[in-house]
Amino acid sequence: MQKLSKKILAEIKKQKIAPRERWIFLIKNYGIWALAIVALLLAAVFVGTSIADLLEAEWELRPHFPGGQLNFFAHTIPFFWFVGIAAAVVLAFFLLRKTKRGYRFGLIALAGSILTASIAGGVSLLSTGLLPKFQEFRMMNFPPHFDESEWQNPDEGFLIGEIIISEGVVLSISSLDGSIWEVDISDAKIPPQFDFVVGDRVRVIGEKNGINSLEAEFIRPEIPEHMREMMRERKMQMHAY
Amino acid sequence: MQPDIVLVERAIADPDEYAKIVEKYEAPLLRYLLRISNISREEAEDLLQNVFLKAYQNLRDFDPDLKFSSWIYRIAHNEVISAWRKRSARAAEINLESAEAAQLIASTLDIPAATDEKLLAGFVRSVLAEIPQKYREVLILKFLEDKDYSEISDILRKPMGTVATLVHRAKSAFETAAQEADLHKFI
Repeated sequence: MQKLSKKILAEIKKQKIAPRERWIFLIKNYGIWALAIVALLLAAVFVGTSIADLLEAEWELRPHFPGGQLNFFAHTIPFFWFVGIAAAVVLAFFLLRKTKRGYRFGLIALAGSILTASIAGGVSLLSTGLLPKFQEFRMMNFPPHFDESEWQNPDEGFLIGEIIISEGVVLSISSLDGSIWEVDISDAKIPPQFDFVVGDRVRVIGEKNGINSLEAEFIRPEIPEHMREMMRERKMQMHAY
Repeated sequence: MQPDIVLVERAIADPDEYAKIVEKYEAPLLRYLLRISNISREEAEDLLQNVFLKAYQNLRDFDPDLKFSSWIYRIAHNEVISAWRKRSARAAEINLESAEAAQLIASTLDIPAATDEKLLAGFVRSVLAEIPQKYREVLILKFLEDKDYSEISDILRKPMGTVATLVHRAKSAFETAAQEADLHKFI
């Protein structure tokens, strides 16, 4: 036996060193895989949410949006979810690189695979109906917010407020400053199934045609219609219980 | 000589059997540690002891799909990196234990053969000291340790494509540094 091996064996015995149990390594390896899968799922959820937000955005309002088209894109592009996708993809990348064989994959191959899996996962979540549950949770807890100062500008044709009377093609809307506006919706583009319930908050884009009077070109619920439906259904379910 | 996987299984069951692994890898690992760092032989032996103790503790993590040599070289590589971190300093120059090693690098990298081996060793040593550590290490693994791309990939935990690029760039860096150093001053 050579000198070093003797020294090492003596050290092993002196320090009572033993090979670590296999389950310790298995837990570590499976833990990394589990975290990587969670990161991939998060990326898929964020991709699906981004796609849903972009599909359901009010694209027809783009040329008429208060503050111009740049402001429209600033409100419409789901930057928050894009940041979420980037963070989840980076996290998944580093976790997968930490797996036993992860280092064998190059940057482009691994990052490309993660992105592809996230997009495929996001589309699958959208089509399976799992994502709407997340959307619902989001709507209930984090409803969309419109900058009221941008929409409370009747002189420029923008109005936000609550329907207080709904009679035929004229709505009476109480704006945020308390003034009452008569809004003619006869030529307005109205989303399908929008029913002008008293008490609903709406956004109007049109043209001022008299004192406290607007002719609407577009009228939209304050919260986009599909989200509003979702919230209504949720509230009805809660009342039923 | 028994296959490494058998030695590993026996060492897990009986610590005394670990001596066989130590004896098999002691010399190549010590040479590798000396080649990639500028530490003294005593320091390298201490480092080597840590390498073997760590390897022993992690024997059950050894993946039989890898070569055992790649696995233990990786532990040695990580130990050197840790030692550098502790010392906050990297190798300023390297140890080439023999003129033969310098000759091997010189011939592989198209450096003209020199008549005086000691001078050539000095030249190769000074050129290796000039190039970045990441290049120096792949050159040592490829040309002195005689590892293939797959083994270097497993030791450094880098994709094979990256290793191939690193080797290519390392050769260029070495050749450039060799031209700048002017071999004729050494001969």
